[in-house]
Parts: sequence; structure tokens; C-alpha cells
Amino acid sequence: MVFSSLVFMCIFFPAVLILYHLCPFLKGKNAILLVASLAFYAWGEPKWIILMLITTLVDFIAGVVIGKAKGKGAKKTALVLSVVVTLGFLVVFKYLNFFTSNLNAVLPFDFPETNLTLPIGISFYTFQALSYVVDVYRGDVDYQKNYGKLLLYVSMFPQLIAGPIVRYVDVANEIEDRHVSLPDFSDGITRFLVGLTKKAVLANFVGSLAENYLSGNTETLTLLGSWIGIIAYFFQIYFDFSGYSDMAIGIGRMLGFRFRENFNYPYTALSITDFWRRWHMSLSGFFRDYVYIPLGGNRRFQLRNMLVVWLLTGFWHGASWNFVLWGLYYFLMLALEKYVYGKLLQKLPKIIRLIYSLFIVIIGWVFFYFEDLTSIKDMLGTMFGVGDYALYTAGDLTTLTNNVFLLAVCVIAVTPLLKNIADKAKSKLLATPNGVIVNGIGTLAFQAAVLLLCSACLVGSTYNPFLYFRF
Amino acid sequence: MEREKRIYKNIFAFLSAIVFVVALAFFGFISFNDVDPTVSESENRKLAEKPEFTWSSLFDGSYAESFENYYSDTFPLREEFMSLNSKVTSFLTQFGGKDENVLISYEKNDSDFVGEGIELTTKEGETEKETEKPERTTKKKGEVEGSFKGSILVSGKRAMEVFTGSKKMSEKYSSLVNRVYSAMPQNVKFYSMIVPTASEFYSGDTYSSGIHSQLKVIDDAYGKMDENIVTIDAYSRLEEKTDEYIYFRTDHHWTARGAYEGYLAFCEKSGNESVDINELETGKIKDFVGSLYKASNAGVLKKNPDYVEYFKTRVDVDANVYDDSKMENGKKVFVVARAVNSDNKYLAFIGGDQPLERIVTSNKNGKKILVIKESYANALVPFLCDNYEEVFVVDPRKTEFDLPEFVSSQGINEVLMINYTFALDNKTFSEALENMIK
Repeated sequence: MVFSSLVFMCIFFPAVLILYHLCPFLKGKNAILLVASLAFYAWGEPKWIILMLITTLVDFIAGVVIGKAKGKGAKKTALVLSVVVTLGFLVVFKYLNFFTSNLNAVLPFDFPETNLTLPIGISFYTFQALSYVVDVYRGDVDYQKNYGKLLLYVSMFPQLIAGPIVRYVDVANEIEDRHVSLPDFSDGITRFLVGLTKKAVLANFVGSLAENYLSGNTETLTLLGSWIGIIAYFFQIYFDFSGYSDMAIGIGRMLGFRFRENFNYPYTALSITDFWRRWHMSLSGFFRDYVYIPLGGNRRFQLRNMLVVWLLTGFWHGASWNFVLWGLYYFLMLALEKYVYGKLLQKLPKIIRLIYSLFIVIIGWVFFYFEDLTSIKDMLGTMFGVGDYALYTAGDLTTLTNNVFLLAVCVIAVTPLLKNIADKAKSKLLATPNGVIVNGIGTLAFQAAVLLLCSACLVGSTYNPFLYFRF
Repeated sequence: MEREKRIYKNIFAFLSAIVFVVALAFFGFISFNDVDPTVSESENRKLAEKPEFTWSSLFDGSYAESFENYYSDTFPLREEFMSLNSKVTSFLTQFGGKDENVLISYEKNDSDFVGEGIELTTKEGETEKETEKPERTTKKKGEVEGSFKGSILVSGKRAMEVFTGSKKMSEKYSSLVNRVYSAMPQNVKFYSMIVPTASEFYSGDTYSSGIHSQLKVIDDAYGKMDENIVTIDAYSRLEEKTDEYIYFRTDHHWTARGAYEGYLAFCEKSGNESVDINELETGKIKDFVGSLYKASNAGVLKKNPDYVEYFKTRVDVDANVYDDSKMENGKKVFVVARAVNSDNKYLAFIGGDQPLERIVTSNKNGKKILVIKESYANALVPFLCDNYEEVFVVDPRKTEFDLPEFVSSQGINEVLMINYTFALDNKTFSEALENMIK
């Protein structure tokens, strides 16, 4: 199930919220949440639920062994075994096809083709399960004595299928004990609706614009068309993914969990280093804490460590060479900033740094969007006027004027401008005598209006994909 | 004071929680307790029905998919939400809804190009029962399924598909025509007619020049055809009549009046004496909202429907439709119908797209012509009846047999191939035709 479906919005979600908050005790709340999460996962693709149950069971047992074992050897064995099994599932289901088809292309003999479909959310929940075992091994957190509670952490429906990657440490206490105040709940609604707007209004519209240009034959694109297409995609992927994270965080709030932020206005970054501190923070954080630092971080072999992290980051996004290329591209850009022009960059005016960062990021999405290398080459060629392409067609210009409001809204919405204005207005309001009432009415009106808008867009839209679904 | 503030804060938070949950739950609740509509008037389609629950469909995920389709199709107040959505859409993606020219993108499937014909019954006089899209039970070999993006320009009350041409397109088409020509018996006179669409004449310079020029592609294609193929310039005649009703505004076809211009161009080159359109019995079929509305959903088209003007043939005609060249179990069809039950009023002409149609006229001149075509020719064929004793019409997308053999065994003297510019590089059409000349 996805958040932006009517079945989720009008059946599943209200039913869970009502049952959950009517239930007076925590054990019951946890049980409701667990059952709801498993149903959420099973709706649409029930068969791989077993994989999630096994992964969690393996890591649960490993946690218990690590927690109870006295000797270092036993702890280590349990850790290694569970990591191998957990990652093994991911490798088999996500990467086996890729490996066999690539090896078959090189080797004189053929491995049998396996056509396993990717279980939804496997990249996300695998990482959550891994972080649990490693954290227990490191002694950062106590092991979980109850399988159901660990399963609740792994499978919790807000973050189950498209992140953010929540660490066990962050929710361990909340699983045992949590409270939702009324203002918490209301804040959660607002956050959820902000995310839904990003998704149902902005991402879907700008996404269908991107599709129009990019999904066809790259040979027939014009120079202007290629830029319109990739910039539309640049907006789509941000609104789509950060919208989903917002919804997850919002739902978490309504249920008493505080997930960490996953995005911090990445399109206002002033360098690529800065961009990666703001984009999909839970993933970069995972690689930092579980790969980069254990490898030696910036103390030794920094360049090698960066290379490993970025190859993995790219590969995590999909079993395809273009994602590897995308990872390498960012490795190169980050290495250049670190070792070549990073200092120089900081002396430049902010606007130049912003343009530089956005330019690099936009080019990056070319590697991300197109899966075959020929299309990537064609697309980059067209964007930079190499080869025999028309500069623009009348259709491109009409498309630009037709979509000018959409693009303007997108530009505003990637900045913190609206949030800052809202925050400032709120704090000023609350300082006045009747401010709290005005603020309450305002919030209520905002929520109702946005809910109406999103519902209309969900009912009316024919184009409603989730990009981060396939990861 | 602080305490009071906190109380208010909680009251409002409580209100917003109630409003949110109740609003969602309310819609969820009434969706299960209302009467589901079965058709959508505004979209002209059947809505999804509630899927039957089985454990196996739940396990393979198909239940979830059909349930979600059913749920969003029958959502309470769906029409109202749709109309709000179209307001949002036009604000965001159509320059605040103020733009005179609006480009609407849509996905076109090759499977949409299978053609649409009247469903035929064998009983005479009952020929006008139609279905939306006749289901093809067998897929013809070589048929390629593909989809591409098209854009529709809505300018004022008129919608037009935006044409984008290329050298490849004209090359592909002329080589197809050349192959069909050379497969035919030697003594057959061969004509090719490429018909431009409305965007060439009604979209202003921007969408009819440069790569959007249809004239360029037509000229290119004609230039590469075998010199024995007689090419027919329908273009110039249409260009002179643009102030008349020669194209539909809501449908991608030309009108009978437009097709008459194509017929005149054909007569000029073929030495036929043309029938005078003013002498023909005529009438109008009202309220035609065509394919371009369905693809664009532009409300302005629905508010301003087309009409189909028809012209009956002067001679008596007897038309039968067959599955293939064996010509067995013929079913009668009107060459020109005075009324059409389906939304697609263009089916008034020769019963729409049929596999093989044989029209026998009261002429006794021994002249027989074969028309190879997609739907564009349908409006033109009735005029041909005036000049020929027999008119055969074949739609390669709907049948398969040895075409050259058919031409010689029927003693056909002339072959006319008619296509509109969007069909030039259409794989479904060209591959189907290739299969018939192998």
C-alpha cells in the first residue's frame, strides 16, 4: 500500500488511528500497530512478507546471542552470521539478476537466469535490521527481548517501504513507552499534509512533465526540451521522496514516534558536500556510521573510504550500471571539493555556489533517470549542444509558458521560504492576546484546505507513481 | 494566562484531530454504503466494478490492484473532486487556465490504432449496432505493441494533434508504398494519397513549419516513390478550402467535405469525372465529440461538439463486409449512414474500419478499384462509388491475406493507397500491410 492511495487515506489510515487511540494500553497499541503494518505490507504483494519475518527473526536471535554471550568470539560470530544472512537476502533478491546477466555476458558459460521480483521495501528494512544488530554489538543499545517488538521496529508501516531509515536506538524507548499529546497529533497532521501536497500536487504534475520529455526517445529531444525534462525530474524526485518522508514523519508523530529528519532543503545547498548533508540524510548517515567510519573515516585511506561509500550508495539505489555511475559521479565531485577547489568555492558569492551545486545535481539526475548508457550519452549530448539537435520547438516554448505557475511554485517550495514565513507569523501571533485562537483557526483552515486539494488531486490524477518504491 | 493558552491550544489541536480523522473515516464509511455509479458521463467510460474476493487473488496481489481501481473509480463525490482537480491542473499546467493555446500531452498506444468499426449482424437493416472497440480475439502476427507520447494543441475551440516529422518517416513510408506497388500485378494503376491533418492549416505558423511541417514530409515521401506511382496532391485543395468545415475540431479525422477535396484531387489525376457534391442528398448527424476530446479532456471541446455532414452516393450501392479474401458470410453495411448510435459518429462512413469491404454499385463500367487504408479513407470512399462498378476497401490492421493475389483474381484495375500523415510511420499499420504482400 502507498500513502497516496485512496484506500490508504480513507480506509486503512483512519481505521488504524481510531483503533490505536481508542486502545487504552501500550501492549494493545503495539499489537494494533504491528498487525496494521503487516497488513500494509501484504496488501498488493503478500508473498514476500515471509522474507521480512525471517530477516527479523535472524537478527532478533543474533541480538539475543550478542546480548547474552560473555565471550567476544561468540558475539562476533553471531554478528557476522546475521549480517551475512541479512545482506544475503538483499543480494539475492536485488542483485542476483544483475550479477548473473553481467557475468553471463563475459563468461563462456551461462549461469541460470533467476527472475526474482524485488520485494517492496527490502533495501530499507534490511538496513534497519542491520543497524539494530550492529548497534547491539557495539553496545550502543540493549538487545530486544521480544520478537514482536523488534518486528514492530522493522515493519512499522510509516517508514516501511520508502524510508526514512530509522535507527533502532532512536525508537527503542518509544516502543516501550510513548505518549501523543493533542498538539503532537495536530502537528503530525500538518506534517503529513505538507508531504501529501508535495507528492499529490507537485510531484505528480511536474513528474508527468518530466515523463513527456524523458520517457520517449532521447534522439528526438531538443536542447531546450532536454533541460525542461531533466529540471522537471529534478523537482519530481525531491517532492516525491521528501514528500514521502514528510508523510512518514507526520504519521509517526500521530502515533507517538519521533523519526529523525530525512531532508533539509537539499536544493538550497551551497556545495555538493553540503547537498549530501541535506539529501536522504538517513541513508548517508547509515553509510557514514556503518561503512565510512569503520573503514577509517578521514583518519586513514580517506579517498578509498569515500570511493567504497559512494559505490555502495550508487549500487544501493538499484542493480544497474547507471546507479554505479551515479555513485562514482558523486565520489568524483566530493573528492574534487575536498582536495581541489573546496577552499576556492567557499570564497565565491553564495549565488554562484548555489548555481554550481544545482548544476552538478541536475547533471547527476541524468545518470539516475536513464538506465542505459546510450541514453545517458544522448541526453548529455543534447543538453550541451553536441551533435545535430534542434535548439527548441514551438511545443517546448508553449510547454514552458503553460507550466510557468507550476515551475514557480516548485522553485518556492524547495526553499524554506514558506516555512519561515509561517513560523514567523505563528510566533508573532502567539505573542498577541488572542493569538492562540487565531493560530488555531488558521491551522484548522489550512489543514482542511490542503486535505481538500490533495483529495481532488488524488481522485483526479492518472499519474501517481512513487519513485523510491523500486529501491 | 499561560494555562488558558494551553487549554486553547489543546482545544484546537483536538478539533483538528477530529476534523482530520472524521473527514477521512467519513469518506471511507460512505464509500461502502453508497450506490456505486457504473459509468462516467464526463469521461465517457465504464467504471471499474467491485472485484470478487478470492484468497488466490489476494495472494497474487491482483485483488488489491482491482480493488484500488474500483475504489478510486467509485469514490464518493468523484465528479466534484475531478472538476476541482481539473481547475488545479489548468492553473498549474495551462498558464493559470488563461492561455489561448494549450498543449496537452497524452500517451498513445499502438493498440489504439487498431481501428474502430461498426459491429455487424447478419440480419439486414440491423447493421447499426456498434461497440466501442471490437475486441480482437486473435492478434495478428507481426503486430507490435508500443506507446509514444503525443501532444494535442487546444487552440480556441479546436484541438489538433501536433505533428512532428522526420526524414526517416518519409523514407519508411515511401519504401513501404514502393514495396506494395512492386508486389502488385504489372497492369495495375497505382495511386498514393497522403492526407495532412488540421494542425497544418489551423495551428498558426509555429506548429506547421520546420519539423512540424506536414507538407515537407508529404513532398519528401512522394519524391522517393517509384515514378510509376501516381501521387495525389490532396494538400493544395485542402489548403484552399480552410475556411470551410473540412476538419473536425474535436476529432482527428477530416470531414466528408474535406474528403471530397481529396476525391477531387484523385479524379484529376485518374481521369475520372468527379461527382458534384451539391447534387448529393445530404444531412447532419449532430453532437459528435471525437477522439481529441477523449485524449485531451479539454472541456471547451465537449461544450462545442462537432457534427458529421454526410453525402449519400448518387448511384445505388450494396456493401458487404468480409473477414478475408474468401469473402464468405458477408455482412451488410451502409456506405453512408444517416444515424450512428455510437459516440464515434465518424462510423457513419462505410461502417468504420472493417477487414475487407466490397461495394458493388449500379455502375456498369467494369472499373474496379482497391483502397488500402486506415480510418482516414472512410470519409472518401463513398465518393469513389460514383466512378466505379466495384470498390474494395481493405484495412490491413484487421485482416491478413495475399493482397496481390486478391487484386489479380478479382480483376482489379486500380489500387489507391490512402494514409494520413500520422500513420506514415505507424508500425501496426505498416507491419500488417507488409504481411499481406509477402
